[in-house]
Amino acid sequence: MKKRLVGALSILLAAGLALSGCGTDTTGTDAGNAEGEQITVTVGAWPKENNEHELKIYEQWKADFEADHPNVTIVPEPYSYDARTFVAKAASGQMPNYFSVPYTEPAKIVQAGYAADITEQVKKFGYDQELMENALDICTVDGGIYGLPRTMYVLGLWCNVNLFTQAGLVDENGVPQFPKTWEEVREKAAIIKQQTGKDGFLLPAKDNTAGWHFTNIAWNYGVEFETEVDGKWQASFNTPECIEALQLIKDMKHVDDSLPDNALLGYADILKNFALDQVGMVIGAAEAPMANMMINQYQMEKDNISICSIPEGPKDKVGLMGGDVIMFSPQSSPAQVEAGIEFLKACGYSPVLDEVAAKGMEDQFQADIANNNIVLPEPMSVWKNEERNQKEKEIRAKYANVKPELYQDYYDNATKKIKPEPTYNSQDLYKEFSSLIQSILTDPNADIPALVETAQNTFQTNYLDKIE
Amino acid sequence: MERKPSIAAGTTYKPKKFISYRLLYDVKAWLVMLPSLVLFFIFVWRPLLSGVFMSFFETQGFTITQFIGLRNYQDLLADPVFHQALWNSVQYTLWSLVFGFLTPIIVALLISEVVHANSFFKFAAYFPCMVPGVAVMLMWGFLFEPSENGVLNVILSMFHLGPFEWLQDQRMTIPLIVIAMTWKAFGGTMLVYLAAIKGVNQELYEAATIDGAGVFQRLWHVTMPRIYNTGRLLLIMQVISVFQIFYEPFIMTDGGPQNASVSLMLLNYNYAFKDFNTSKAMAVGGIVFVILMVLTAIYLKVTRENETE
Repeated sequence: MKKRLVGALSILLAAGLALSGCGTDTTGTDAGNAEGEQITVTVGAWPKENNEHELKIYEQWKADFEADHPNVTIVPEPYSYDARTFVAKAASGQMPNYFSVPYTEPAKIVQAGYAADITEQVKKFGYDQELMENALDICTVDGGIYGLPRTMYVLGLWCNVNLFTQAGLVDENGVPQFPKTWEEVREKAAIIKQQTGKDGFLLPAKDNTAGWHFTNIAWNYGVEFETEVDGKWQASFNTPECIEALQLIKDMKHVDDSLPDNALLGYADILKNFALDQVGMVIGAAEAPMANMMINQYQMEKDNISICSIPEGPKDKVGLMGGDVIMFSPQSSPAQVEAGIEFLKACGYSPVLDEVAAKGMEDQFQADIANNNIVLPEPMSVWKNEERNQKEKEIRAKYANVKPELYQDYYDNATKKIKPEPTYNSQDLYKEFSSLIQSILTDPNADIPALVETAQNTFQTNYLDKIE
Repeated sequence: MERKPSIAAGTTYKPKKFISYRLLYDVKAWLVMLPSLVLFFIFVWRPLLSGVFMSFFETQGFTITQFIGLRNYQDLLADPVFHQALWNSVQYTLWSLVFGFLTPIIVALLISEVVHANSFFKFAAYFPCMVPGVAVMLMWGFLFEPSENGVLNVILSMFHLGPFEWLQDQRMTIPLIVIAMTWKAFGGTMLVYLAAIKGVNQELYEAATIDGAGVFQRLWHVTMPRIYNTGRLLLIMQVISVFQIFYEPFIMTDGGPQNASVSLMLLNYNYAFKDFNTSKAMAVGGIVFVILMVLTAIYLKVTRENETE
């Protein structure tokens, strides 16, 4: 009986192994890289059915592109990057050929082997010479290029026009009196709370957002988070400057009471609270997708949104770079990557705004207007080519639908000094600081120096010491 | 040429036919079980074993790159967040026994005594089980809003109490999440107890009444012994299930404030899906697996005792 049981279980094991796909190789599908051979490119973040205007334009781009490139078939895939589903899709080889991810993600995606090395193709198109170095650096790992930075923004400070008006913090034209320094942020946040009863400022600490935003505040206080010493990376934020920056947050919360009572708010709460006039200022960027979500999901008025450059700290005035990057799945063949880059050009992504790219851009702006989205007046371009950027500015001028004065300070000052994210384990650093900020927001007696010391030791031991 | 079995003197001859019948009987049983066993293997056993296997390697995504022995386990044991998650998981389990163990028993006893609208009360108690878990946790999250405008704070302010910090008070986070969980899940367990109570022979109650037993004496001497075995089993199942708590803190606090509510499974998720650190996530899984093995062994022992009784 025992022998039979063992036999039956062995059969089961063998069947299970076979059925569960042990040793399945999900790499290396090559959809035809020979000249003239049929190439299929799956394009991620394709507009969904309910986004009629954009869908129509994408379908037109697809039709035009396929007519110009008879050997290429574009397959739409509505999947947009989501950290909760990405690993499962990528590990099972189901990612579309190209997909878009935020600037915060490429390093870990490359480390996990979920993106193709596209150095050769990028060089072939000459984009390595055309893209801004600091944007390209985001996608470069050990000399290899793994993505194309598509959009770029710099963090600034969103100011809610309604709340600034109610608090009497606007000039004669109704434009908010933007804070120039972090001390002014504190003062204005306190006035907003006093005059309107709404929160003056929000630092959402439930997820990594607070850590991300705090990085930018701390830079302006003179903090360097990671420093290379004799070839080894050291956590270097246990400094009086970092403590001073955190003290500002603590005072705003526990002395001025100008931050929300709820310390466990996340990234999504920024949009909701700001759009519904519940908070006066939040860190953000002049990027259309965020504003569009507030306008379309929460019926926020376009002219209720204004933005200024990141306020100056005691030591610096520097903004953190963000944006989105196009990456290709590791299963993509060189021919698919090339076809994908060609298709991006048809969508308006190109260092030279030729007829095709300019049409793609205009189509996009027309769809934005039809979708009640905003079109911003100035390009925040990843391309170095000034002539191209000027051309984009001219096209934008035709479609821009926001009051320029509400964005002027941002465009005048935000890009003067910009900085990419910390080099190593930026997400882990943000997590560490979000957790630390949770303590500060929930405990009026939080011992900041002790918390910073613990965070530095943890970050050093758990992450930086492991860099080989 | 047909071979005949040689029969040694003194041995009993077993006819061939008997063996065939037994074999045929077993094959049928195996065939019935086969689909479940294959599915169990694919979706439970193999991932479990391969997870433990991967925890001894360095990985790139889900691809094994290098054998590193126990380094992932050493890293975890040295990580204060892991210690916190382990202690939190124990706390979730203990608090769930405080709130979640007696609640279904009490409600089942009360409902069994209700004569009118019995079905309504059964439905009302079971109703939260039908609401999607995520929706329940979001709803409790709103109730626990710590500002003065939070629902519970507004209600309590009428009695000149509060405002309370609720979930962001580190001492209250886990008990409050357990209260929300209990509200969501007690209905199902309550039905099991109710069935056990209904199964008690009514004559025992009558006999006890004749002997002069009051309500509480009948409860203690008649009802409780009859639901004792059910309670013992459900207790162990509850411990095993709550130890793996994940989505409740994930939705309500994401493990905060300052890791006060992070559980082992939430830590596992963070390593796997936020940090893409598969092997470390597997190491957490491995440790949870060992702890649950011990608890399951206890569960099986209790089940066997029940069967014997």
